[in-house]
Amino acid sequence: MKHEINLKDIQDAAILHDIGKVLIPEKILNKKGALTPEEKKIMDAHSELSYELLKAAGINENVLRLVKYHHQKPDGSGYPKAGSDFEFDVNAQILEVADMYSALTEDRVYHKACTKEEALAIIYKEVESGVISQEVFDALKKSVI
Amino acid sequence: MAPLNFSTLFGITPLKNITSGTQVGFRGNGINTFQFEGLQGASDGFSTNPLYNRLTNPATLQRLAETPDVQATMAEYGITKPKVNTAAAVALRKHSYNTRILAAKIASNYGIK
Repeated sequence: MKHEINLKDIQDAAILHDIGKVLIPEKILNKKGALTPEEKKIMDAHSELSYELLKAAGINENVLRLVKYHHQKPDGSGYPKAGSDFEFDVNAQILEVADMYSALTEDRVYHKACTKEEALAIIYKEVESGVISQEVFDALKKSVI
Repeated sequence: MAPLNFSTLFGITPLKNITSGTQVGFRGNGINTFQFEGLQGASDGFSTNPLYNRLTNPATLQRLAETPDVQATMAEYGITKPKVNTAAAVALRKHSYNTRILAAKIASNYGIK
């Protein structure tokens, strides 16, 4: 994993990473219950749609890559399918973890906000399964406690 | 104008059985286009970011959404939505800002023992 931090790109990618959700049908985006497999497939298109929208807006390549792969995992088990432009690095992992923690601790139509402890426990399971690095998790803990 | 509290405006459902692998990404918070129109130009309690504001301008989003690559990706996933959901851009703002602030903190703490 590349360890060089690019703060500006992380921040730009973080503020824009979900913009593709403006193209997801509202009945899926705001569905209160669990998504069906077909709905989840459409929901999962949001990162690729974010990438395409931002590409058309002239956003830089590194930010585009972070946005496109913010749900991808080091082992390629995430989405969208990792292409030749996929390079897993610490910047992508920081964005992923910040996205997860923020999503967990905010209210949604389909869940109430988690506490800090609950969110950290959920994310730590990803550390245990080897898809999030201990170092990034430690940095998250330092940031929220 | 006081900051809007989305959770009290739109209601919430209980957290149930979130475990590793559970979908935890932002979907939506129930805001609709009528409410979006009411929010335009109002202070919603979040700071502004020129890049985000420029790209989430409804006319800009619609123009970007009509580019061939975006249309092709939508078609690939079977999405046939004619117009962008500009309300979602407003609803996404809190999550986008929270993620940006936290990502910067994590980056600054990364590697510090």
